[in-house]
Amino acid sequence: MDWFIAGFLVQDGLTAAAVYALIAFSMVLIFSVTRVIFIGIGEFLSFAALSMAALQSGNVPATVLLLIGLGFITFMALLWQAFIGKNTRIREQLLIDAIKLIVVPVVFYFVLSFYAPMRGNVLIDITLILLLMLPFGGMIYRIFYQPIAEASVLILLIFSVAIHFSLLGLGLLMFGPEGVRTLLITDVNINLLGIPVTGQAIFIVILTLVLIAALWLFFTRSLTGKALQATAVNSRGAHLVGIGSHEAGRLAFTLGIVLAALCGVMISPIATIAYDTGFLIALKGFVAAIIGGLYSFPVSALGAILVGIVEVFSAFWASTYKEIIVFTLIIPVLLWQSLNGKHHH
Amino acid sequence: MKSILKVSNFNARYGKADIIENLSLEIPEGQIVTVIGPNGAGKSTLVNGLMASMESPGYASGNIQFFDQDISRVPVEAIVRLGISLVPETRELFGSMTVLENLQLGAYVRRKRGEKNYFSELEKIYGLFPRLKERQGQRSSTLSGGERQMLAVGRALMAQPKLLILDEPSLGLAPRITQEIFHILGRLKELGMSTLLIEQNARAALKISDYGYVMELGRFTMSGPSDELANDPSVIETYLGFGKKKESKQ
Amino acid sequence: MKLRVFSSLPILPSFFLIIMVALPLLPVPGYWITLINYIGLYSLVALGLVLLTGIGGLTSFGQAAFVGIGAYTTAYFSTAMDVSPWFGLFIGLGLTLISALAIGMITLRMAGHFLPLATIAWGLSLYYLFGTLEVLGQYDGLLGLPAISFFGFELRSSEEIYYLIWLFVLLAVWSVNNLLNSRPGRAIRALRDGPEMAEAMGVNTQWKKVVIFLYAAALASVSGWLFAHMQRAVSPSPFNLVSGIEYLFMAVLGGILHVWGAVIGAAAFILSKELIQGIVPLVGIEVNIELIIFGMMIALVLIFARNGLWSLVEHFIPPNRKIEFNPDAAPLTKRIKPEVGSRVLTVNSIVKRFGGLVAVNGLSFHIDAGEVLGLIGPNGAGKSTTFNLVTGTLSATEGDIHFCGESLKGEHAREIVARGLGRTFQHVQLIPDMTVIENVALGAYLRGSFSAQGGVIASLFKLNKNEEDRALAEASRQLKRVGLEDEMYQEAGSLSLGKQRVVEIARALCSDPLLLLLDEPAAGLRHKEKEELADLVLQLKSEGMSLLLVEHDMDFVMNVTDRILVVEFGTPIATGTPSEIRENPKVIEAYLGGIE
Repeated sequence: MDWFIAGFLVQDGLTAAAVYALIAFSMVLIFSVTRVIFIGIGEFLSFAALSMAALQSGNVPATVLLLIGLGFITFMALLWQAFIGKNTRIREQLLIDAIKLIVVPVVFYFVLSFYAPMRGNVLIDITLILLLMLPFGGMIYRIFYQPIAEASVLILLIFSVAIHFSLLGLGLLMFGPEGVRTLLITDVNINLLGIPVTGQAIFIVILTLVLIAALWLFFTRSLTGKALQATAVNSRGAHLVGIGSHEAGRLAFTLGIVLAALCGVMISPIATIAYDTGFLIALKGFVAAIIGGLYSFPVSALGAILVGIVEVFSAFWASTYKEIIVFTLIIPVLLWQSLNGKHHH
Repeated sequence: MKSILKVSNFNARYGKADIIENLSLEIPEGQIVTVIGPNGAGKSTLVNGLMASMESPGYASGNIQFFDQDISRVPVEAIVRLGISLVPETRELFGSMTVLENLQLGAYVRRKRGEKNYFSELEKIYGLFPRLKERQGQRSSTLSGGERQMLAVGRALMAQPKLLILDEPSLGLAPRITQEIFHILGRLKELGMSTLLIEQNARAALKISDYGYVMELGRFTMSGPSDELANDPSVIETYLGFGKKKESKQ
Repeated sequence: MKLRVFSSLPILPSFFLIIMVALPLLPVPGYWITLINYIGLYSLVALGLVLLTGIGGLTSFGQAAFVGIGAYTTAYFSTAMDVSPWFGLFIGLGLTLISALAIGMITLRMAGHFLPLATIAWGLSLYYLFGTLEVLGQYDGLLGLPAISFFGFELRSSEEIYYLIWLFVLLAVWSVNNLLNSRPGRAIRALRDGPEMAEAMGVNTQWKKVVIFLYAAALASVSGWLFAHMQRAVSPSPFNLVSGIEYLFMAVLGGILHVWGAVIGAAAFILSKELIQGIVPLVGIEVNIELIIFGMMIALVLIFARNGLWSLVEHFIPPNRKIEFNPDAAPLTKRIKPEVGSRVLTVNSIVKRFGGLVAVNGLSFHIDAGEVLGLIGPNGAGKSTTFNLVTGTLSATEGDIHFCGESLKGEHAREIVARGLGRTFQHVQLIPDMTVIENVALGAYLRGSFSAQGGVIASLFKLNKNEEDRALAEASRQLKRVGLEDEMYQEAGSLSLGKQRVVEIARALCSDPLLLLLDEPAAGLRHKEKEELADLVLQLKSEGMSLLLVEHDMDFVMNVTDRILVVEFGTPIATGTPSEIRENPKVIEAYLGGIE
């Protein structure tokens, strides 16, 4: 292996690491606030990439239909709670919820059908896709996780696996089995110490760094971010200062899914994404999250770099053993954590 | 005088044991009401039942009127939003966050209520507890027991509550610190705060409160103006277990 | 939890058994038999998960990998090496146990979600390994496996291997049931609620976790062996992570707390999958929408029937909690009791610091045989810390503790109970869904006929009758002693708090203690319950038992103790007889709080 190849691999590894880091953040965020290990996060990565590809080929992405459907189900669940469950609080909010859950998705459908045939540029595509993915977190949490929020981590985990299966099936139904690539955000290439670096890779790494900084500011500077952190640190304490756990749960899911969607639109120009690609990416993000003990953002980021680099180098030297090496990486990490006596409850 | 909180026909149960049976309690606006009683009398169950934060398999039922609103079925975070802040026995601070952040989070409900200047109480709280200002950048897990209790009280006050409930504030604190905290409760009363004080430390609690209830085995066995209770020998008996024979009379 | 199933269902299982035996002989479609075979294979794996996850509280998503080891080992040896499938079974079991032991040693000591995470990694890696190794035929797998021959009879068709599969299923259900209703089994059933109580009964909880992990892996491995020889071929895909998760689904779906939940869950899983696959083409949607429906179905089951389908069955079966044992079994051997008046426990200026906080600050006291000492003080005085120091839950920063003349320094809770210190818990720690007598028998854990942590294999195959009879007879004697013989067969969780505390005392008595430590036994009790408890303490004292009572309830302590030690802020403030303590102004001060 020479310098040229090594540099190339590092570039690939870091690009992948950026994505794994963001996925790991989503998982850590969702887990620490709700105790849910949400492996369905990967499907939203795929949905975003596939929706973007659909939009760029002039079609309305089927995801918006899923949004309308989920919005409808969520609203029905609210109606049930409001009238059968006699919850007056929900009854008072019903009109606002009707707009959020029914009207907005339908309006969005028309916006997309208007926009798809004419198309603007890639950045508008990305914005629309992110907006499209925004309401999913709240809906998923509300329909599925809110009713069993008190269940054990195990039940929540099995539940997540069930959701993952359903989302995977929906992905296949909506987009078919074919993989897609979307348009590059930039086709600039530069030369860094003799190694050609693609503009897209630089874009991904820089955007990830910006996002990390933004997340850091959000958690340390804004009261909403601190409220999320507070729920993760001590949920009873959070209740006592008036932070509802469902409110925090919805926010965590929303943020997590948007981050995953962002990963999807970032990497789809340089990696082929099919309905099931997201799952494999999520698993690797998950390995990074585990390295961070499912609570530490910085250690998860380091874990993501480790996973990304190990992955590309093992692909180079022993391509058939690539996945084995990446997933077996967890065992020594867990062993190390175990020997250090780190117990997290 | 108007009542800020009125509890009647209150029952609470934790597991198989009935802990609280048919309890009534009233807190007049601007006063300090205390519930005293030996450990195991059911005081914490009362607090958790009132604040709708009973852990399953426990449950609470009854009438809880806060001003004119029935709050018996309202979840705890909404109760806080309505204006009741609890300082729990276990403090429940955000350990890995700084003192200042803990205080800021206390004001979360004020922003939620749509108020503009939601950190307005901060300087007042630093005035009451200068120690918190000194330590504002420190993680709350590094504080001493007394400072933690101050922070828990300060965090509750950040919400500008109409009623403050304190569960065993003296627990595990040296007598001097307990004095300091109780002194501050007195000052808050002068500022118009209504307080429900749950305490084991009967003498100190009766000294600063206006009215007291004595709790034993899930029931109020005595109640009356605090200065009368403080001089009543049967209160001591309740604590030291000589009151066993007399209990049936009450 | 009702674990003695056969006795509670006298007609149903025999009827079921006849149907099961007759089924392949009847003119049913061969495809049905194949499906039922699959139910049997999946049941074996799910049964392991009932033991591991439902009973033991340890989650594994990686069971499919153990199935894979069983399947691939026999496939490799019976094709490449041309040896008998039975040989393959044992090699497969051996390899499975070795790998399970290795992964178990690494991960089982970790709390919470680390084990499930590790098993996900394990499941994924092994799947890719099966697909990558050339000797295992990569993703094409291995073909042409021989049929299993059973006493010279080759099991070639579905109908033939059917009997072998279900023989193994019944054996597995029987053995798991036997295990759960045994001395080690009761210890296993205590695992889910954390190690503290079980360790205080002398159980090595770490080893018990390894044991159930190994047995669950072994059951999975046997399933893989049967699967390989039923299919006569293996390929990696049935052993991927998704299958591992599906096994867990089955157990949860059927009812993860019950052995039959595994079988019902496997049946419900396979039948509903068939049903969905049958319906989907009719609706005319080509892509596998079954995945969506399947996911939703699991989600709905979890929301609406979290205890699985078996809980619905249990709803209709009247519980029979009676447990058969020989009440005249030879009594367990007893310790030699120290002479009345000789020193039992000496605590010498112990100090315990937590970081900067001094919880106990130079406390000394002693207890003589036949004496009742009360340790009292207001909340936060350091009483519980003292209790935990004596029972080995915590270790002292300074000072030492001697029991019958020997130092307890550095001894673990397990070793301390073995020396004859029985204890109860401040927050009652019984196994709520186990009967009272079984809970009490757990106290006799260290008095078994096998080695202290052993007896697992004997229990699996019901070779432990003598041990069981003696333990249960002892438990029933202790229950009579404390006056709870009428509640013997009730679920412990259904008793009032007062009775639960008495059950804890009976459990502690079952360990044949020289000194009994009661941690706030009167807390949360009603007046009448307290009086009954006081009577029991006095009765035990009259029988010569030495007791240490940690209490905050003055009333209670005054009436039952010989001497009282009052602590505040971790330091002793008074000591004396109850009447001396009652008059002591310092004590009144400590309890009521001082003013300036």
